[in-house]
Amino acid sequence: MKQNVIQIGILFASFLLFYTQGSIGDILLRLLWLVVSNILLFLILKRIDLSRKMIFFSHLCFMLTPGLIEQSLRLSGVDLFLLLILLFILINLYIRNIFVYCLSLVTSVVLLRIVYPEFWIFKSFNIPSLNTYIVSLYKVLSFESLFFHNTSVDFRNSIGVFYPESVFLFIFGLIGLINKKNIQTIILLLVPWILIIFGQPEISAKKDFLVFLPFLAVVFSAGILFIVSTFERKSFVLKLPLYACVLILGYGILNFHHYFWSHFIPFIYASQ
Amino acid sequence: MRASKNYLFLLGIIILFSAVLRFWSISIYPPALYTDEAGQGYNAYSLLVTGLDEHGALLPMSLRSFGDWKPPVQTYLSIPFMFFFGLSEETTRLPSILLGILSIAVSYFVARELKLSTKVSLLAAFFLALSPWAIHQSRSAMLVLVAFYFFLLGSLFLLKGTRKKWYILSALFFGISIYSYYGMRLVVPLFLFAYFLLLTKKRHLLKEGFFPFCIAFLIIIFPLFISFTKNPDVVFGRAKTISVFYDKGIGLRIWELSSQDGMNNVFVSRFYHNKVYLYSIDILRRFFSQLDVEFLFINGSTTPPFWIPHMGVMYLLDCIFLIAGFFAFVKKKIDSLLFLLIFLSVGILPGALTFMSPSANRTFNSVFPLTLFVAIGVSYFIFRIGRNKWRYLMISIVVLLYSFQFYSFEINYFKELPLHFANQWAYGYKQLVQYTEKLEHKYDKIVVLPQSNMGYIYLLFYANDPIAKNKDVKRDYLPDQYGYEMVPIIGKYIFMKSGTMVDARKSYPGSVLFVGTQQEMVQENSLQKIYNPDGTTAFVISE
Repeated sequence: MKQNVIQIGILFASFLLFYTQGSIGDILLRLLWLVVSNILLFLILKRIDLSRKMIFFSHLCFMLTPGLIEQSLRLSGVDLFLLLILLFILINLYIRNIFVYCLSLVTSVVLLRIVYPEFWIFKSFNIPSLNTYIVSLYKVLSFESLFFHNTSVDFRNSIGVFYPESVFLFIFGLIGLINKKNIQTIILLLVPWILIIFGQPEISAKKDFLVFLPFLAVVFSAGILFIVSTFERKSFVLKLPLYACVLILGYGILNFHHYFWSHFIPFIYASQ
Repeated sequence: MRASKNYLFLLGIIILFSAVLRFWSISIYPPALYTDEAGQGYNAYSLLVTGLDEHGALLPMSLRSFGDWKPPVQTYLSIPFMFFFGLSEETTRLPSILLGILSIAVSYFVARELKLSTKVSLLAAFFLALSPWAIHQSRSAMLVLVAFYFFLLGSLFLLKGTRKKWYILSALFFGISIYSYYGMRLVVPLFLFAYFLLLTKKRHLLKEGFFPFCIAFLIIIFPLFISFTKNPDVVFGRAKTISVFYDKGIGLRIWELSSQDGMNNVFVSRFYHNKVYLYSIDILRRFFSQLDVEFLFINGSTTPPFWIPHMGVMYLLDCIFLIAGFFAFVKKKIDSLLFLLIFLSVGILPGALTFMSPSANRTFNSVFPLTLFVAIGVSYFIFRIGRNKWRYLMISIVVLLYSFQFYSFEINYFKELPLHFANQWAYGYKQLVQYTEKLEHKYDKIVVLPQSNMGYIYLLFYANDPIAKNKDVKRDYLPDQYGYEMVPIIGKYIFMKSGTMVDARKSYPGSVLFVGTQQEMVQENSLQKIYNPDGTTAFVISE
């Protein structure tokens, strides 16, 4: 119980840190979106039997992602798209039936048309070529785009979707998740959405790939736990590199915080 | 016994295959000698004939060349070939080619020392033989291949370990690799430090070979220390002008962000916007740019001439097997994973510390671990997924797909590159020198306009008497913004450092022949034009 309170407290604090800008209406909408998306994510991660620690770190990584913070300045179609995908995954994790799968997929696309009519398949749909997929995947999934420079997150190309200091967490997280069969289930469920989203041309200029953030947060969470478990039984001296990495990551988060509020937001308001 | 003979036979076939890929038409693919190649070739010839390099230094530890102080091993290795066959494109490139072929064999034995199966080791050798990256570097005299070979050899004997002689041999080859390429002066010490710290049982170390290794290594690099004390540029060479710290971008970025913070927040500004943080992130970014799909599989290097048109440094298909191989390593908890990760990381580091990244030549060492992951991935696909009757289907699929990829590489490298991108290989200088030498007696001066850069070395390389021509060289040793020392005069030839055709006509009246690019000579009536293979003009010559 005490651990739950601490975890919720940390999550709420991170919300207060980043999301309380704008009008009351905007704040309430974002709060509602955050609560719903976190609940859905919690239910999904609980369903696939992830540990409590992993669930907590997944939520924390999700909330602190620069890409999400930048995105949530104002609620948009992409955020609602994210909710739809979470709901789709959740339904199909609980009800494993091909009919339900197809029905939920179709319903999601119909709802997507309502909440996010600007999505490319409703604007000018052409069957994407293999080349489009290759280009989209390599542009979005590159280290450059994910961690360093991403024009759809920051049009001044100064930040990536994630903190650059967290790149090693990501790699260790992928290694840590390699044997987890429950994660493979989620990946399989995401395949149609991957095909839909990455089939669009010029994806690097859009934010649609941000709908995968909750799942990528799980990777970071796995990375954190991988490192913690590696260093757990080591002496204080051997733990020093771990503490140094924590400090560096903390500095990186602070640096983003400063950049976002002192440079990025004023620039946005100045250009409007 | 019979099985091992069969494997060695297969290795022999792979080596023969790699020899064909590397030897075939070596003087025309790549289409011309790059300036660095011409510099090395000429210095090797000069050392052979006179014992001196082009600057008159006796058997130097580092070749001054264009002021970039080239490591000497490649140049010295060319000398025996020039003794028999003279100065030519072939003899300049021969050390790279031969060591490129031998590195295939060494990679097999390194893979075996890493406790990988014979099949996987053979696959690794095969994929290295087939690698576009390795083929491209083998066919040009660009230092990295020679350094890679000796580094690989040093790693082989280090892994063999157990006896003093192996450690001493290892130290010898690591030492030679340091004399082969700048990047090795960073890579080798880091690699050895990581190896001895993480991978070797200390008790075993002290007993067997650590001290002999250190002593042998220090003896080998001792001359470099002496040269460094006389002239630091011998060790660091061009490193100063190509490092990320030479790039002004970070400083400008700090200034921009600090200005936005204002004068009231100096402490806050310095806390968040400082060189330590921004350079660290920049280096990290450049490090991972070497592992990005765009560099490895799509577009390759950003800097000519290390670029193969329309493809990355590896085949597109390698992407799948590379990832599969890496995860197979992790899943099976293969011991050699840490060794390969260290090999890969230190191999990439030189590219991360230079501002021209991603870079195909500076990170060439990483070709070995990447190829090994591909080999593991292919092996997993064929032997784990494909069992019994399906195995032959799997093998056929892999062979077919790689055949298409190889065919595509052949088109890009042997057709596209020499036809449409010959200018990236400084095409035209040979023809230019051969033409102007015939007319030299008719003119008082031959003025070469600035865009021709370091064409002077081609004048020496392709001269009728290269050694005699060097006596006409007048040097001022003034470096340009990139640290290159251009030569202003060779006999009648004048190399302008700046200025236009108009300036040249004013400065050099009388009986003068002018040489320049199409852009510089656009208003001129040409006496002769040298064309690129694709029909565009390489050089214009006018009176």
